Amino acid sequence: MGQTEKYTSDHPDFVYSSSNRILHWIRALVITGLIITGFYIADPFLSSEGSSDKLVFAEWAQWHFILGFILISSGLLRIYLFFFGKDRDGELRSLRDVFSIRSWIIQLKSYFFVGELRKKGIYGPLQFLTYFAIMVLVVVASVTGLILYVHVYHLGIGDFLYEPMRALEAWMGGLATVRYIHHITMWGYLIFIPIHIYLVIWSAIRFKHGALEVMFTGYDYHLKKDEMEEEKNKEDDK
Amino acid sequence: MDGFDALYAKAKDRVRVLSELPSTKAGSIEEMLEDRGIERRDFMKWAAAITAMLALPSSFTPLFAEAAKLADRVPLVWLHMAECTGCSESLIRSDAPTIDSLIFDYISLDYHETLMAAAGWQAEEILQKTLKDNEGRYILLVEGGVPTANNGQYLTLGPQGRTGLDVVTEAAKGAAAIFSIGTCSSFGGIQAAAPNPTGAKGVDKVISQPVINVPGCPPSANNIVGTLMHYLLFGTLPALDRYHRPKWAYGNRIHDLCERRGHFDAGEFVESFGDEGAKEGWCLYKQGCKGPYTFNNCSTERFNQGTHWPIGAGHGCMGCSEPDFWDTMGPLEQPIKSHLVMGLNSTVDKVGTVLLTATVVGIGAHAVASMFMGKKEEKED
Ligand code: HEM
Ligand code: SF4
Ligand code: SF4
Repeated sequence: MGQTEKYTSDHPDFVYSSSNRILHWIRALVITGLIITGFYIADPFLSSEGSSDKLVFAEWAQWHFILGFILISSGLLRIYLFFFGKDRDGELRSLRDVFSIRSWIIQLKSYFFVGELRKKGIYGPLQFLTYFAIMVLVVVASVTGLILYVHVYHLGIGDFLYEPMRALEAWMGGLATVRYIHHITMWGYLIFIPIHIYLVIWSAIRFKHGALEVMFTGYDYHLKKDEMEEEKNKEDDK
Repeated sequence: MDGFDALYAKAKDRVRVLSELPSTKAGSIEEMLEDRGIERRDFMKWAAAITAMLALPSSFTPLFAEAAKLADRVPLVWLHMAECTGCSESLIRSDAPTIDSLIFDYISLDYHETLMAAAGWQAEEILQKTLKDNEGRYILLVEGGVPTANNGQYLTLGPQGRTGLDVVTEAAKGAAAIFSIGTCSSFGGIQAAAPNPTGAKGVDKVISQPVINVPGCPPSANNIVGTLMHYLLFGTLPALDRYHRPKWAYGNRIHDLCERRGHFDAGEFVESFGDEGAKEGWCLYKQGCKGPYTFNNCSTERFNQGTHWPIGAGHGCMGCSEPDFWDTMGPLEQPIKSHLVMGLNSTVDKVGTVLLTATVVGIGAHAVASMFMGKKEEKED
C-alpha cells in the first residue's frame, strides 16, 4: 500500500483482504436497505398512490427480496472466506482469545478505561463473539427470509426451495413464528449497528490505531506502538 | 385422461367394494334424498362441486355421486373432547338442509353426542357397540382438544366419568381412519394456549395412529365433507402437508387467493375499521390480518353455504387453522408491532425501542466518560 509513513505509523498491520473489505461494505449497505424495506413491510408507512395499478407495497417488497438475495450470497461467501480465505489465520487465531479468561478480562477492562487492548488474533474475545452473533443473525435472517420468500414467489428458486423451507417452517412452529423471528432479527441489527459504529470510532481514538481505515485500506496503524512499548519496558526495568 | 387412469381405476374398485358392504341403514341414501326433495340434478351438481374442490377431473363426478350414495356403508363415530361444538355447527347449520348435512345426519347417527337422542348409560352402550361391531371399518372423527395433565382428569365424560384421553385412545384402536375436525383436535386450540393448564393436545399427539387434520375454528363444511368424501372414494389418505392437513384444502395461504390482494400489493390499506378504505374493500393487513401466515381455502370455499367469509365481511383473518395460533398470531386485529412478548407483558416493538434507547444512552454515557478520561490521561502524558 504505497509508502509507509514513518512518523505516524511505524507499525502497520495488514488485517483484511480486499474481498473481506468489499463484502463488509456490501453487507453494511444491504442490511441498511433490508432494515428500511423490512420495516416498511412490517408497518407500511407509505400507502397507495391512488391507483391499484401502482404496486407501492409490492415494489418495496421486491427491493427487500433483491437485497435479501445479495445478503444471502455475500453471507455464504464470507463464511467460506472465514475458513478458507486469506485472513483465516488471523481470524482463527482470535479463537484463542475467546477461550482465554485473561483475554476477556483485558478486553472488558479496556472498555472501562483500564489498560490497553491486546489480542492474539485480529479480534478481541468480546469482539469475536459479537461478530459471530452477527453472522448467526445473518444466517437466521436469511433462512427465515427464504421461508417467507417461497410463499411469495412460487417459481424458480422459490419452487426449488419450497419443500425444504416448509420443513423448516414446521420445525420452527409455523409461518407466523417464522415471521416473528424474522422481525426480531431486524431489532437485533438495529441494536448492534450503533454499538458497532461507536466502538470502532472509540477504539480508534482511545488506542490510537486505524480502526476505521482498516476496513477501507486493509491496514491497521498502531501509533509508535513498538517504541512506546520499549520505553515502557525500560521504565519497568529500572 | 392422462395421469388419472390409475386413480380412476382405484376409485372404481373402491366403489365396488363399498357397494358389497352391508348398509347400516334401512333405506338407501338415494331414497332419503328424494324424500327430502333433493333432485338428482342438484345431487349431481353437488358431486361436481366436490370433484372440482378436490382438484380432480370432471370424469370423477359420477364416481363421487356413487360413493356418496354408499356413504351409509362406512360407519362414523364422532367424539367430542374439550371443545365448543362449533365445528359440528359449521357442518349442520344452514338455512335449508344441504346435501352435505343431509347425508351427514343420515349416516352419522351411529354415534354423535350432540345429534343422537340417547344419553347417559344408553349413549355409552351405543359407543361400545359401534366400536365393537364395526371394528376396523369405522371412521373416527374427533372434535376438541385432549387434556392430558393430571392423567386427563380435566375432561371426564359419560356415566362412568371416563377421561377424554381414555375414550379417544380406545376409539382410535379399531378405526379405519381418524380425522381431527377443527383446530382443537388438530393442534390443541384455545385450551392449549399458553400456559395450557390442562395440558391440552391435538389428537395426533396422544395416539400413535396416523391422523388427518382438518383444522379451522371452525373448518368450513366443505373441508369436512371433502375430506370425508375423499376417504370414501379412495379409501386412502389424501396428500398431506407437514401438519397433516389435506393439501387440496390447506395448500395455499389465505393471502394467496384473497380478493383484497390487489389492494395489498398496491399499498391500499384500511387504516381503521369503518374508514373510507374499509368501505372500498381495501386490504386488512394493518388491521392485523393474518392471511399471509395462514394456510386454508376460506377465500374460495367460504362459509354459510358458500356465501361469505371473514375477510369478505371486512375483518382480517385470525389465523385459525395454524398450530398455536392464539399464541403465535395474537393479538387479533393488531399488526406485528403489537405482538406480545411472552412473559414481559409488552409488545415486540416496545421492547425493541426500550433496548435501543438503553443502547444509545449507554453509548452516550461511555462517550462522555471517555472524554473525561482522555483529558486526564493527556495531562498525565
Ligand atoms: C438484515 C437482514 C434482514 C432484515 C433486517 C429483514 C427485515 C425484515 C422485516 C422487518 C420484515 C417484515 C416482517 C414483518 O412482517 O414483520 C421482513 C419481511 C420479509 N423479508 Fe426480510 N429482512 C432481512 C433479510 C431477508 C432476506 C435475506 C430475505 C430473503 C430473500 C428476506 C425476505 C423477506 C420476506 C419474503 C419477507 C415477507 C414479505 C411479505 O410479507 O410480503 N429478508 N424482513
Ligand atoms: S386482507 Fe389479509 S389476506 Fe387479504 S390481501 Fe390483505 S393481508 Fe392478505
Ligand atoms: S379467514 Fe382465517 S381466521 Fe377466518 S376462518 Fe379462514 S383461516 Fe380461520
